[in-house]
Amino acid sequence: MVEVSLSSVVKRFDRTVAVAGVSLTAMSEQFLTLLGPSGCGKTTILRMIAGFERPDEGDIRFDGTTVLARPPERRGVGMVFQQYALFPHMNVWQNVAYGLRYRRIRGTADRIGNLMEMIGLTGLEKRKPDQLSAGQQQRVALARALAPQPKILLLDEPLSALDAKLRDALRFEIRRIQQALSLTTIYVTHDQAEALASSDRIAVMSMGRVEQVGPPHEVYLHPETRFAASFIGQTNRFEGEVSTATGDGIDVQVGSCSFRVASGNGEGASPGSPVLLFVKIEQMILDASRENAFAAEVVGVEYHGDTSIVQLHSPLGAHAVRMASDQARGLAIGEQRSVSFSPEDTFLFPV
Amino acid sequence: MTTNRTGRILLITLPLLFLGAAFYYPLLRLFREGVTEDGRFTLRILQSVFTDPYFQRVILFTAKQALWSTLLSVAIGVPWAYLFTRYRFPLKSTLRSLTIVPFVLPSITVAVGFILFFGNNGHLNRMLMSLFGLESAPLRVLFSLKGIVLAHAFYNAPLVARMVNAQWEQIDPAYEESARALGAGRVRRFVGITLPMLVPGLMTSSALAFIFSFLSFPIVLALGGAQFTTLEVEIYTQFIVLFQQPTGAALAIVEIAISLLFTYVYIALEGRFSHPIGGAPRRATEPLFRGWHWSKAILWLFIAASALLVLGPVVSVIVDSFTRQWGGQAVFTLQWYAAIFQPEYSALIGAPPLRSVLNSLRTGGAAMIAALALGVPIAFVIARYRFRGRRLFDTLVMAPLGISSVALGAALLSAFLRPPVQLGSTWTAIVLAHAILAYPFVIRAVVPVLEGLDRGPVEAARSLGATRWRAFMDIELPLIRRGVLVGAVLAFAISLGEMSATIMLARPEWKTMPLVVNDLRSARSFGGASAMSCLLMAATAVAFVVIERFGERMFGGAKWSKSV
Repeated sequence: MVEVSLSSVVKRFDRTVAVAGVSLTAMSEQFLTLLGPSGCGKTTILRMIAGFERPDEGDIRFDGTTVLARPPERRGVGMVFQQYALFPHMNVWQNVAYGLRYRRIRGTADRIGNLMEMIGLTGLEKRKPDQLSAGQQQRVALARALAPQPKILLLDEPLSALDAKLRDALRFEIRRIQQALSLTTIYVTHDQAEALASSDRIAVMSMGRVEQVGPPHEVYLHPETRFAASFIGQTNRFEGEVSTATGDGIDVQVGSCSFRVASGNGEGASPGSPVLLFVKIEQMILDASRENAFAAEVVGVEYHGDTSIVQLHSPLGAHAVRMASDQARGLAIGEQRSVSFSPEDTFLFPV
Repeated sequence: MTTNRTGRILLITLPLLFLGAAFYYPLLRLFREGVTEDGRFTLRILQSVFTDPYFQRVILFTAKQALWSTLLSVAIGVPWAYLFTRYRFPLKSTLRSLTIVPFVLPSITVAVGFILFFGNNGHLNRMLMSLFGLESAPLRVLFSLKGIVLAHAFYNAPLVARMVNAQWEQIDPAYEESARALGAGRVRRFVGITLPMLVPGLMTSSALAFIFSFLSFPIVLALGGAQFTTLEVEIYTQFIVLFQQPTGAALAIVEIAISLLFTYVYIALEGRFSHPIGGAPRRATEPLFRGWHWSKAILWLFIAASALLVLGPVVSVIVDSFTRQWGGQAVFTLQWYAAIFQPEYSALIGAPPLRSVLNSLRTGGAAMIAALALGVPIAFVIARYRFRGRRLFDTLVMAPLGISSVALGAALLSAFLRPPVQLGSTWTAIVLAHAILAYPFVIRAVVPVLEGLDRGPVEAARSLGATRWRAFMDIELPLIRRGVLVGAVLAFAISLGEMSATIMLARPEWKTMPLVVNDLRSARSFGGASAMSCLLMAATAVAFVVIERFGERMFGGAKWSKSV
């Protein structure tokens, strides 16, 4: 329906650069998540798309047409704010109906009724925002943004103020509604679990730049930058030096060990250059069956229910391994174990 | 964005243009009169003002009475702040609320009250005479520096008490407790720990007290007598009694220069100190009237003395409006109220007194609307916009706070006397003057509320299709309506009690209630003056109730005006 694209967008606040040249496309009907730590510029991008901030450089287009000259009220964008931003002096119905106030639309009452039902707000119409729970407030905010039938939905950390259970339920629902209404959706969060669970595509951001864009599994399994590798998932890190780099693989000397990295996982590595290796903690195992192996001492086991995280110590440093809890049960503190991982799961970046 | 930008530019420039035409231009015209002779620039008049021993005395006396008034206000206000902070007693919260009264009580009614209570033949002297069997009045405070200072303290001590109390409650008791644990005694704790932390509240409230006392007009006019006159009264005399416009204008230049200096100091102090000192937990209070200690006895005496100072004049006005002397006895009567509703005083005032009531209501209503129309947009700019020249904007819009009202009246009178704009002494000019004197208070009532609003709801409204204007009307205005209401009531109350600018502008048919009170006072018809004062005070009481209900945040204390 509508494709949102940013080209070379720059935004500065006084002297700090909030967004440093971002080009990005949210494809029609897709769920794009901007994922990054606080201060990475993701909210600023959202606010520029909504029209609350104006880029200093670059362009923002909806379906190829620039919207920079359009004020927020003429962008036709639905937005859900982090703190909900419900109108405190209006009841639920008035909040949801507000977006229809300045449009001549027939059957307003029916439409809002349907929407309330869809979002599970039926019966709360007369309540004021301060008489609602946090989850209900978030639903109202969502319904309010959807009432004028926008083509684009923007969500700014919509779940961050909710507790974990509610967060999961609402996340699921947002995704369901997005798909049912075929909305081009841009979702801002610092929570990678949220991003991985709902998105069609994720844009990983850091310091005003987009580090990597791709489907969740790709961003998770194949980080393209050092930041993406360290930010997403839990990882083990090794510092080393490239000894040889051939088409078969790259050999890296880490302390007294030599680890192999699949040649596709570390482009441009040349012998002698200092590098960092990243391996996800669930991709390490406690035996010597994989190609890269070293010995370590078990220093602790953290029980997480279905899985456990084993803390290890070796001359190479501190490490963690995630494994099924029933397998971890036999481990004893102080025990010496082999740890191994495969070259395909190892990613190399220059220091 | 373009419509936005246009709106923004209009919001910033329109109030400035209005102030330029209705405030700065007249003021500059007035100043010009003080520095021109036969159309040529001269410093002679200013020079003569500074060299003439009489004017020197006037300038010195103005400063001297303001200084003493400030000191007395602090001397009364700080112990009250201490009482409010440390003790609990019946009616405490009511009393604390009552400290807002000075903002709305018309000062001419207070002046009348002082004459009736502290006068040589006043209630206090008569009481003392009959109590101690004296032959003559023991207290002679009226028509002297003492009377003026006392009346100014009546106004400003509550202000000091409120602001210092607010500051005091911000101070974490842990500071004093740790000093105590380290062995510091009561006095050393106060001087070494508490006092330095109270400095911001003390400084800002003293600066305000000084400005208010420096610019006070009705009190000095009524209580100073012929002998004691301040710059403000002298400007009035030069303009209205002696028709010496150039000299009056030169005096206005001197007065405004000094008062603006102090206003600037006040705003600078306030800006510097407006950050709170940590978060303060509730401190424990002690019951004031339980248990005996000599220090408590001193506080009891102090409370009785200040009650005498504050209640005496107010009660005297009420009592005298309902009584008359008959054979040495006070007898209940409604004759004074009857008189002010009948044309008995017409000859004295120049118009039927009843008309002045209608005038006051009409003027108050119009001034309120004008002050809102001016104040709310400015408050919006202050709370919402950041732009180059913001400081200049703030200064330009807040300057009227430090301007003498008599000079403002004189300025409007002389600037618009001739065509093309012939306002002269019309009703419009009175409304303009009142609106200019009142709108800074609208700003102070609205800005904190507006700044407390999250930007989220407004942005939500905009993304739902509302223009900036619609978002303001739909979202912000309903949410700040209490602030606007308080501002409106304050503006109305200020207009109702305003006498200084009005006396310069009003022809007999446009006289407002305070002017009638003043006429009756100067004719020594105190019965009628009391009755009219009571009506004014009743209107004020209504205003007080509204402000108290809705405006708690605004006069919360030292952060009296957050961003201005």
